[in-house]
Amino acid sequence: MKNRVNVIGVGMTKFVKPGTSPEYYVMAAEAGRLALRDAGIDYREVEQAYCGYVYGDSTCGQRSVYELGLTGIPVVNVNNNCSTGSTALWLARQAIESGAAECVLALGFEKMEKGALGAKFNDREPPMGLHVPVMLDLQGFTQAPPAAQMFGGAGREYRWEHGTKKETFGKISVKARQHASRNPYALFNQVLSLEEVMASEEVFDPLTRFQCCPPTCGAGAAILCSDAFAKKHGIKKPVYIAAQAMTTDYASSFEPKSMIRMIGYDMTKQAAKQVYETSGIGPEDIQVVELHDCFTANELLTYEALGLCPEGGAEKYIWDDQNTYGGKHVVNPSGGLLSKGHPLGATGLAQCTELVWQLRGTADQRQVKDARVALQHNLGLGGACVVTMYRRG
Amino acid sequence: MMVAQKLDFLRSIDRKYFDNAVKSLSAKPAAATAGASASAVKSAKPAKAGDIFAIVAKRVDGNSKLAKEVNAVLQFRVRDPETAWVVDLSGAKAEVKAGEASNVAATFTLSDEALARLAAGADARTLYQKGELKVDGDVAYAHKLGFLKA
Repeated sequence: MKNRVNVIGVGMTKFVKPGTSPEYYVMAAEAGRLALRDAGIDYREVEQAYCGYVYGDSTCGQRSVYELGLTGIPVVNVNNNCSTGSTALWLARQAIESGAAECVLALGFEKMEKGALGAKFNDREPPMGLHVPVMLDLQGFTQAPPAAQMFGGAGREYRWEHGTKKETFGKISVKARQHASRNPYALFNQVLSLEEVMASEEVFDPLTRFQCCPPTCGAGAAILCSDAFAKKHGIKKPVYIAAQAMTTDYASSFEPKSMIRMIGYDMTKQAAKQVYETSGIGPEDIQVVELHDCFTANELLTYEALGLCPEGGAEKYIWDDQNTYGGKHVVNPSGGLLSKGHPLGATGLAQCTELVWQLRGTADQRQVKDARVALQHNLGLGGACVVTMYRRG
Repeated sequence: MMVAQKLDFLRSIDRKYFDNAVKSLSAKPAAATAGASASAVKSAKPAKAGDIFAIVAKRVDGNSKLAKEVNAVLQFRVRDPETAWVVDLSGAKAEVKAGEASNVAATFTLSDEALARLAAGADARTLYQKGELKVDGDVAYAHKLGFLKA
């Protein structure tokens, strides 16, 4: 017997640039407090905590939740690269759904350094030891940031196959900034023109600087609970998880060699398929989406992997403005990773926070009209992909 | 690194280079010696582009079948050394000219060395994926570069 999983509280800190944030545990505790207050419950009600972060020594989760209370509950620290935050959500959902707990905290935080992502432990096999040879074979290795080479390379592969204009990728950044200009939590809220995006320095063709997400500091949190718990606390019509799936790499990530598959296209496609099948709801009935726009190329590819548009149809979908207000779906109303920022551990929880606000009708100037079904997509190379569908009432 | 800087450089390209390039369209291929290419002076490096486009010009000239198949004006910007070429396969005429054209369907940017490999039979897709062939405009025309091959 599977229990329905409700998201009764959410909260996030304003995302800021590296070097300007408070300590990780201060941000994490702030997000935690915001979520608890939003849920209207005391930390003492929380039975388990799943804490996501990528960069830090062991037990940073404890240091964070100890600021909320010393209740001796199980605390598990989790990472899955860029999908860390959603992985914390996935574990929390599993705990409620299975009946292991009635009320669980999912927390995600990251205090990042300036510059592109890099490895910390150079004395051992890199986690992407199976992925990198695919890239070396297809396109070699340059001085550009590795993540930009991977996703940019996938963009090249797509562009070759479909004849996509470079400006199509750039237009995604324009949308991201437009949406973020209405988000007080976003790192970048200055609007950019397409000319400005295209004129920014080339990082890895076809990606220019404004087409790459920035290193960011921040935290996000969510309180998940059972129906019984929600009822006991007088919470009516909560947002709930209609379906959730996590996938990792299939053989297709590595053979036959393709940059598009290497960066997780099939992980996304399969996770989405599982969610659509479980929920009985398809992409045509979703109004709002928060997906993993680490680079514009990944947003474009993800439209197709999630079935928001047909395969090969992304360029038309973009130029027809189907990915923003007035279109088929509003994609990344928060501004996404590109403009809101991407603190690795926090992103999944920030996506959840935005979607919960959207479904409740409290997303202020970013509110998507008649938001009834929301979809979250969070991707980490190495890898893992988590797709979550939310509904309300 | 900005595209604008590249354009400025091409606009102020050495007039002598252009003259030499146009001359080599009809001249016999110059013998490049190992000694010459090892020379410290960069501008002394022989451009393979001239010879390559001379051969392409012969293949393209009056080739109405090819013009029909491609049906576009294509710009080539070759680097190191810098030369520029227009392959006009847009209509009744089919020809190769040195220099720049406006209103092109696609612009291909690549090194002189990469151009030589392309002409020798290298796969355009592989060069593109590796970043050795850049394409501005419609990438579909990059699929039609068979006419460059010897």
